[in-house]
Amino acid sequence: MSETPVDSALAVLAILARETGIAASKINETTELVGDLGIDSPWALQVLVEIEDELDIEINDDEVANLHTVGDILKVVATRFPAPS
Amino acid sequence: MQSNHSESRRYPWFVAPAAFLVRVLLSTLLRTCRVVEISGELHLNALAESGRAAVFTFWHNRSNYCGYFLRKRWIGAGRPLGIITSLSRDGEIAARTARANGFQVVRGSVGGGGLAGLKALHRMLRRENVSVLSVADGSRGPVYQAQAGVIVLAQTARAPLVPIGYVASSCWRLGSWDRMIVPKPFSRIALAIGEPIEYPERLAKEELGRAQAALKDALDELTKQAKSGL
Repeated sequence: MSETPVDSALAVLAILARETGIAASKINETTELVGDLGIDSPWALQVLVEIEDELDIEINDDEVANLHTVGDILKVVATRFPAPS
Repeated sequence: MQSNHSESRRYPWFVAPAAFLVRVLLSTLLRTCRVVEISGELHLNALAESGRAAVFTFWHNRSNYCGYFLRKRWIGAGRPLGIITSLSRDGEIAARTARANGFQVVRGSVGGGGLAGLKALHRMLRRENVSVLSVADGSRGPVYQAQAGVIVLAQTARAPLVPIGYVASSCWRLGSWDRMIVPKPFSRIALAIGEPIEYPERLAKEELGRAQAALKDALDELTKQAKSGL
């Protein structure tokens, strides 16, 4: 399990890169899941479950309804790993 | 748990009485039908004994009797069963009918970009150990084409996928996209329950395509099998 927001963001990018075959360096916050990465709903479920398992978190139904870009995923994940104050 | 998507929506006044009428008429009609054959019942019994949550799947146009049968056999035995209905007005009628029949309902869509719906069913399966119904050809078709969603749902939740077919000796066909089957009163019903399908932890795209074709074959074969039981 990642311990910092940076680790968790890197883990998400690594999963997206692995799943899509697109280099992590070419994926950023504005990258669209469907339009840019071509991730349809069934595939997106697979990706989200992988993120949940790897980071040991749960993304709830309401949050899932608002995931359109990589940045949206990173924002949700960041709430589970708040930066130390 | 039920999704609260529907609670923030307003539906016309007639939705509640329409749901009541649908429930009464459909259950009265289906109650007059007589099941004369259930092949593969052992699969259902084995699943029940295992305590594992499963994904039950069938063609969309056969959802009314399959849902009725599973309600009797699964919910009737005290086992929870989840279902998803769309956010449309028709979906609201279906949701009210399903809740009144003891189903756990989430709102959304599995097909057509319905990630939230898929994820909600996944949560039911994996976190709550609740079995779910999910139509193989989705809520909009094309008819008799197995979609990827139901397979990925079972695969990611590590749940067995149980295909079911049924035929009625006499039925109406509605004018919907899938030509929904409604058994006529007092018709004979034959059901065929397929062997549960277990998927590996990961499915590559081409493997997923093969799994979709195999699921279509399984459902078509079960329909044939059910026909021979009439």
